[in-house]
Amino acid sequence: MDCETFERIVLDRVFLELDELTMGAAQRHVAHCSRCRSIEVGLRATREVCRLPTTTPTEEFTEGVVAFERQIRSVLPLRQRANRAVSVLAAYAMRPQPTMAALLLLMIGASLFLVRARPTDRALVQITERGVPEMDPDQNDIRGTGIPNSLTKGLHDSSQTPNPLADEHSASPSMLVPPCGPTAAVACERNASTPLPSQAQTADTELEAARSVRKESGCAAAIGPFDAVRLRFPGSDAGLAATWDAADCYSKLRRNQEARPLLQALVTSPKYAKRARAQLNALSNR
Amino acid sequence: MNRFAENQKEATDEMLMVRYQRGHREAFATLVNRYSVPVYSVGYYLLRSGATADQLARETFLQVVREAATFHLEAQFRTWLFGLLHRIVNEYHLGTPGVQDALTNPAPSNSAEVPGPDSAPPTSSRSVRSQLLARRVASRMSILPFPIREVFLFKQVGQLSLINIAAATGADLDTVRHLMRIAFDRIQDSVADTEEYARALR
Repeated sequence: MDCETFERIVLDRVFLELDELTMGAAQRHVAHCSRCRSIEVGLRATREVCRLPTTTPTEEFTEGVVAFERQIRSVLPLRQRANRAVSVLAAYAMRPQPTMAALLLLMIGASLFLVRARPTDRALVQITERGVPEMDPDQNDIRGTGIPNSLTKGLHDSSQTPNPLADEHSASPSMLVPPCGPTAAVACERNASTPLPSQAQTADTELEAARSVRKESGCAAAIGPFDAVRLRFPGSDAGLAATWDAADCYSKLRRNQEARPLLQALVTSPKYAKRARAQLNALSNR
Repeated sequence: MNRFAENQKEATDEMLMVRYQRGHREAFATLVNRYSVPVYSVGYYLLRSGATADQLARETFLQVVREAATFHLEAQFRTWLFGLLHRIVNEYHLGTPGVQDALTNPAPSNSAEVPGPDSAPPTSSRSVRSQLLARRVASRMSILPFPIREVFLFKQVGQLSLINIAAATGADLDTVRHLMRIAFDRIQDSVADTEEYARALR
C-alpha cells in the first residue's frame, strides 16, 4: 500500500470500518511510514476530542409525533391502505395454521354444497291420481273421501273401521279437496290450479275402490266404503250401485234390519226396483 | 412489562419497521423513542435552531410514516431514516415551499421551549474543560459548509458508517471520505492547542 491509497482509506481505518485484509495492509504501511502514521494519530485524537453533546427534544415530542402519525394514517390513500392490507394478509398467509384452517373450511363448504339429498328422501313424495303430491300417504286421505289410503291399497285388516268423519262430509264438490294445512300447502296450491275431476268420475272411482275392498277383504270391511259412497252421491248411478252393494253386504252378513231400508229405497229406482223387490221378498222368507 | 413490550425493546430497528408496516403502532413509537435524540441533535446542529430542529425531526418521522410501505427488510433502518432527513433538509435549503413552511412554522404544541445541547452543571475543572472543548468543536463545526457539516454530523451524532452516509446522502464513498477529511482537518486546527487533544495524541 502506498501513501496515496493510505490517505484515501485512513478515515475508514480510524473508524474501524476496513476489512481485515486492507486493515493489515494499512498496518504494515504505517509501520514504516512516519508521515502517514502521524496523520492517522492526529485523526484519531481529533475523533476522540470532537464528540458533540446530544440534544434531547421536548418530552411531548414522541406523543406529538405519534398523534400526527395517527392523523396521517387515518387519511391514507386507498393504494397505501390496500398495500397495507395485502401486507397483513400475506403475513398471515405465510403461516401454515391459517392456511390449513382455510383449506379445511373450504373443504367443508364444498362438501355441504356438493353433497345432495339421498334419492329415498324424494321417494316419500307420492303423486296421487289428481296429480297432487302427498307428503304422508298413510295419514292423508288422498281423495278427500274419508277413506284412509291403506284401504285403497288393501292393507287394512277386517277390524279396521271407516273414517267416522266420512258421514259428516257433505256431497258438495268443495269437500273433495283435502283440508289445507301447513304440511299440505303445496298440495293446496296445486289444487287451486288443477281442475277437479267431475263428480260422476269421482263417484265411480270411489265405488270401484269400495268394491275392491270388498273383493280383497270381504263385506264386513266394504260396508263402510259403500255407505260413504251412498251418502255422498245420493241418486247418482254410483250412489244407487253403492246402495245395492251395501244392501247386498248387509244381507250376506245377515244384518237384515239394516239391509231392508236400503232395498226399500231402491224400489223407487227403475234400474234396481225388480232386484230390490226380489231381495226384500227373500229377506221376508228367511 | 408484558412480553410484547419486551419483544419491542429487544427487536431490531428493521423488525420494528416491518411490524409497523403490518399495523403495529407501538413499533413506530419505539422507533421514535430510539431515534428522536440523534435525529433531533443532527437537526439542531445542522439548522442551528431548536424550534426548526424540532420541526425537522417531526417532519422526518412523519416522512417515515408516509413512506413506510417503501421500506424493505434488507435495508438498514438507520441509513433509510437519515436518508429521509437528508432529503428534507435539502428541500428546505432549496426552498421547496411545503418543506419550508413545515420547518419555519413550528407547530404550536411543544415548540415553545425547545432545549439546546444537554448541559449538566459542571462539577469539576475537567468537566468544565470538556464543555469548553465541546463548545469550541460545535462553534467550529457550525461554520463548516453545509455538505461537510452534514457528513460530519451523520458520522459523529448519527453513528452511520462512511458507506452508509454515502447511501443516505446519495454521494459516492470517496466524496464522503473527502468531506469528512476536510471536517476533521478543520476541527483539528481549532482543538490542536487543547490539553485534551494533547492527551489523546499520547
